[in-house]
Amino acid sequence: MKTNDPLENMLRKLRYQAADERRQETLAKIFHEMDESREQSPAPHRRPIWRLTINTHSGRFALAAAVILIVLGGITFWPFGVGKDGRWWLAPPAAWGREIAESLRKVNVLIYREGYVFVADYGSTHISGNWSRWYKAADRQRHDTYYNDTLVSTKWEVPDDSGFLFTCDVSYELQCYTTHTSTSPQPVSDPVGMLRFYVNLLDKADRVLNAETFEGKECIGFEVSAAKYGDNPKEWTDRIWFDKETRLPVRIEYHGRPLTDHPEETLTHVQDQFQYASEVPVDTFQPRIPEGFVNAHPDTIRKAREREEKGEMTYASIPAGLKDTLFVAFRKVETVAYTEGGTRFYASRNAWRTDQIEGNRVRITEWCVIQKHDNAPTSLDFNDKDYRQVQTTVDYDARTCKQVEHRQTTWLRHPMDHIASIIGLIDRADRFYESAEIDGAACFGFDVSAKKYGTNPDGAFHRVWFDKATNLPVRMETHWPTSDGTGVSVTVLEKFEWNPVLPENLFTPQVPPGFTVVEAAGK
Amino acid sequence: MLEDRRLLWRLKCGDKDALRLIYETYQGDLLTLAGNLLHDAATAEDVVQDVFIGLVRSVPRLELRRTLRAYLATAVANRVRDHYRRKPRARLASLDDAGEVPAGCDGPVQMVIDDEQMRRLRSAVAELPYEQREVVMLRVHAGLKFREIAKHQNTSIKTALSRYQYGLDKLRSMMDGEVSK
Repeated sequence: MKTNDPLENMLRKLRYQAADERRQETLAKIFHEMDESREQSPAPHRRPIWRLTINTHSGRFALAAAVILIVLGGITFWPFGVGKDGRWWLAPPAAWGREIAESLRKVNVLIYREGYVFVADYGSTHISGNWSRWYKAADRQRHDTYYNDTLVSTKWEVPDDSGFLFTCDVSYELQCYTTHTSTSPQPVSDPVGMLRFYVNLLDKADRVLNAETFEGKECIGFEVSAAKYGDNPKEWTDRIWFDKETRLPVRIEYHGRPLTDHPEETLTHVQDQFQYASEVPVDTFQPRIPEGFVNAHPDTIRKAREREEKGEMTYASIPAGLKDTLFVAFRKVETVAYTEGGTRFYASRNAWRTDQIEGNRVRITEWCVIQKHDNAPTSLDFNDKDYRQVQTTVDYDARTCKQVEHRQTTWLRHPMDHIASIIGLIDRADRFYESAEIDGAACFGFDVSAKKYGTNPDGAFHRVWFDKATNLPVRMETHWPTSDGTGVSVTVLEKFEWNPVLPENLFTPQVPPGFTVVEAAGK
Repeated sequence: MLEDRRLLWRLKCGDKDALRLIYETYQGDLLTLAGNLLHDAATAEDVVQDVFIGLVRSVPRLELRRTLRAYLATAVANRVRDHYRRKPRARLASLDDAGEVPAGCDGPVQMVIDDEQMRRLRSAVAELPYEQREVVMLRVHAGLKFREIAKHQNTSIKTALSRYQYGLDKLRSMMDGEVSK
């Protein structure tokens, strides 16, 4: 919600701030409230599924049905299964859960990686380049943040000599740091509490998952609805995988967490590479500020650098709520067709097609179809089983066909994701056009410099025009200086048709008979 | 948003560290929101404290369908309304006692000018009809979308937008044209 309105900017400066003592007092009160609430409310995982089942009418009916199923279908699943042949997970979880909880007692430091997989509006999944490595002990923790292979920052939270929490946040990327000491004792999360919570939760699990190998360990997984341990939507599911040998957690996945109000956009968090340590090198939890780093907040440095590199940015005044209005219209789109240069695009939520046209004939057609298997686990190691794109290219001149399977979306991005990302820049626009006629339609539009979202050259910008009647784009231009600096190349997306009725088989790859298959390699 | 969901989940698991992080992340903005709605720093602090206590109590059954910021900001606005219902005359009390943070300034002269301007703006905000003030503050200090504000005020998006525009126009006129569009 950034604007250039001086009044709004002044209003933003009308700040209030509580004194440090008052903040600590409030924090102590809400911690106390939390302790009280937890003592009063039943533990979220105390009621075993067995008791839950036999204590209700519907439960008894379900139990009877389950017994019939087991007898007829031979289903083996606790609480009825028996731990034979080392298959401990088929035994009642109360027994082995205790064992696991016991072995976790010996753990003093928990180390794990945490990463994220974003599932976009149109079904595509994107593995985040940002990930973390956590080091957690009973009274201290350290959080390393990476972007791909680069360590970006480290944050230590350790008790000082008085028992107060000392926080040190170092940004290697911006060569700066901040420190802060609390004025009262602060809690740090119990490192194995989360794992113990999950182990105890397993008597509520919905199902046992197929065996998988993670990090070279043969694992057995359980899936539990997040609704089982809190007032969470049923779409949230968690999966926890245990090493069959050590019985310790190897991987935890949190699926279906919403990112926005739009239900199709979700995030999967994956915690893996668990290390259970009784001790770690002493310097793990010793804050280290590299020589020459300045004491400043990363945001301050980032803004100063950006100003230096990109010059002062200008921001147009955009009508309040306009971005929301545009996305309301955009998210209702089920199908679209448009032209970019000599190529006609057609897209639906799970597929798109491009026809490269020369004169009156199609020279090359490409189909891209997204296929998802919702029950498979998502991996951070780019072997994402939740997702694949099948790209089929038919070259009518060369009489060839090529089919490639992609497992990650860095290869092929859904055209609607691209359009959405440009529309989303409206709140950073340099210039807003209230009214113009474009392709015969009454429109409004904006220009946004490409420098607003990345390190892009001077003069690179996007211009987007929206139909006033529909709030959907009618024309999208990208102006980019040529690399030799002598000119500007312009690409234009135009001739949009929003929600057209498309032939049913439009997204089904069709290879004419007799064409040669030239490649079928996966990526 | 992502961090919100994770924090809330951790909070549901009883993680005090998550509660501390939520508090530290949002208390400043919430206090600013409450302060600007109430114009009474002490009551604003009480309101924010009540909101966090309410959050802790409702966590087991809390189903977050928007950002945590939006949830907490709406909770603050609701409590401020409750406060006015109980003490309708309290709204202009101790305006000068509020613990505002001065705006960032370029130099001593600018600081004096800014300080005077901010004082006048604060008074102007206090004079706005409550519905308009609420829309302006929820938008500016909590970043709520107009449809979220409309839902909170039980009105249409159009009305929320109008209240925002009327509010800003009124502030401009009360500032005697010192702040142009």
